[in-house]
Amino acid sequence: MAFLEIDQLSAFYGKARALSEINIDVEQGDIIAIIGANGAGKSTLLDSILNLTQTQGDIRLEEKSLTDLPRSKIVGCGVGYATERFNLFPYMSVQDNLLVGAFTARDTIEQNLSLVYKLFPRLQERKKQESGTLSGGERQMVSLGRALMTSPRLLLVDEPTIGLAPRVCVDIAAALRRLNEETGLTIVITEQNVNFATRIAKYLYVLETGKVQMSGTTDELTSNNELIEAYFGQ
Amino acid sequence: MIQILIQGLLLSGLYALIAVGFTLIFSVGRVLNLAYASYLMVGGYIYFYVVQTQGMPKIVGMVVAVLMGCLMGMLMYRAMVKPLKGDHVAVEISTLILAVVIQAGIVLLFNDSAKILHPILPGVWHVGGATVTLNILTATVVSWLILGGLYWFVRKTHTGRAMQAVSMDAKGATVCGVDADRINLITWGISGGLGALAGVFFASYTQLSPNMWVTPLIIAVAVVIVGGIGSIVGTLIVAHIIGFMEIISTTLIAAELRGVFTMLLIIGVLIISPKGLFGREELG
Ligand SMILES: Nc1ncnc2c1ncn2[C@@H]1O[C@H](COP(=O)(O)OP(=O)(O)OP(=O)(O)O)[C@@H](O)[C@H]1O
Ligand SMILES: [Mg+2]
Repeated sequence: MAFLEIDQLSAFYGKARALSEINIDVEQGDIIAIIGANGAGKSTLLDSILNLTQTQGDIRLEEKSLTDLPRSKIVGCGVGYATERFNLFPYMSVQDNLLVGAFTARDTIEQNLSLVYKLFPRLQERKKQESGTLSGGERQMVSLGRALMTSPRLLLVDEPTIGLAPRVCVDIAAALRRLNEETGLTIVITEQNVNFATRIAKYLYVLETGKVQMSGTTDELTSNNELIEAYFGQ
Repeated sequence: MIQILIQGLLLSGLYALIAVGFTLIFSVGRVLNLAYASYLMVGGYIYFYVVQTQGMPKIVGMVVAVLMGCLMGMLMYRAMVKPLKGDHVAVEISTLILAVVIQAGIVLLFNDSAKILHPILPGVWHVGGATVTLNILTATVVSWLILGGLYWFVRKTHTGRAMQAVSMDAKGATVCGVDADRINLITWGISGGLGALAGVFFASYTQLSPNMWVTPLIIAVAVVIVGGIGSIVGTLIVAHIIGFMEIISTTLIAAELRGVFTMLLIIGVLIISPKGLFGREELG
């Protein structure tokens, strides 16, 4: 049994189908990446794990089904979700954003806060600043930090590098890798940036209009010409 | 001059207390609760019944009024606002109708003659040639304490921060494990309790009557529209603008103008700056 099992998952917005029969298994301690173009269904997939969409099929974390749980319970089960950056609380300080993240994990606030500040010292420097006034890269750090405050065992990260300078992408990649290596955290990211995804993920899933078109280890897929043509545009 | 300053300060304090429960709901749930001022009326009448009909201590009257206000707020959310699922026009129409229905209920139970509440704290205070009733002074001090407490609660507690979070980004709050429905329920409860308490003070400042909900509703709407904000400090500022405007116009021009300038201000701000003077609706 895998740590996270996504089993024949379909998702709907009203009558429109956004995901079709997705199957993904994630082993504990792995980093996997879901790559896909705009509208492929990346955010929908992560949203579905948090029960934010209407779904069919099953999602299990350590064999426990998440699909019928209330969202706050799913977060309480150890699923942390670093959403796209515009889902921060813009008029709250960096620190208060992080503290909301600790809503279901109040016993571990001190540890988690020091973990986040160790990972992103910039956030500590700016902890009193309203998150709405931060740069894109800093906001990405808050989004990751806020998810880490939930004490996750599974971290979902939606397009961490979108709109960021290469320099900042390197920092984000380093932070995710360090989290994975030092704490054994299992991480699922979505990306359009294939370079970034291949740099940190062990397995890749290619999503196209709601279906998994290809999947495999990063090494396998990067030697695959079809993928290179579709996503590197050469 | 001193008289105007002191009266203005005191009235503004009362107005801030009246408005804050309304702005709270507006910023967390994005709902204009037009039945909000019914909490004030019900609070006032419950206090009247407990203290002046049943002869119980004033503090008991206040506690019962606040509890009933909380209950009313939560019931209103569960039974009416939540099922309407963010349809703003439907919520506004049904809350307005509810206010009229509650007015009818009050007439049925207490008849439609106005009633005078005894001052919560009798007596007057003389300062620098001005006279202040201890009653309104109490109202103002309580108002400041409550606003201070609420400010602390919203900023420093998990539930308070969750209220801010829900007002700023619902998805963001959800992925932090915050149950927006529960936070809304709590907010409606707090709003109802604050409204009922404000009602006791407002009724002791004016009088109890089945149409006493109109004036406070205008004050509360004015604070939201002029401020365009869910900020507690902002509520205080706008309450002072309105309070002073009213004291100045009624003492220097004519007592009949009570409320008129507030309404003119609402219309003026809607025309000139529809997002309000502070241009932000989120709680904080
Ligand atoms: N709230 C919604 N209501 C209706 N349709 C939606 C909604 N959210 C997403 N969709 C549709 O579902 C499909 C997948 O969207 P999704 O946001 O998951 O894509 P994505 O891969 O995250 O894209 P992007 O890279 O642009 O973020 C799209 O066709 C989109 O139009
Ligand atoms: Mg997306």
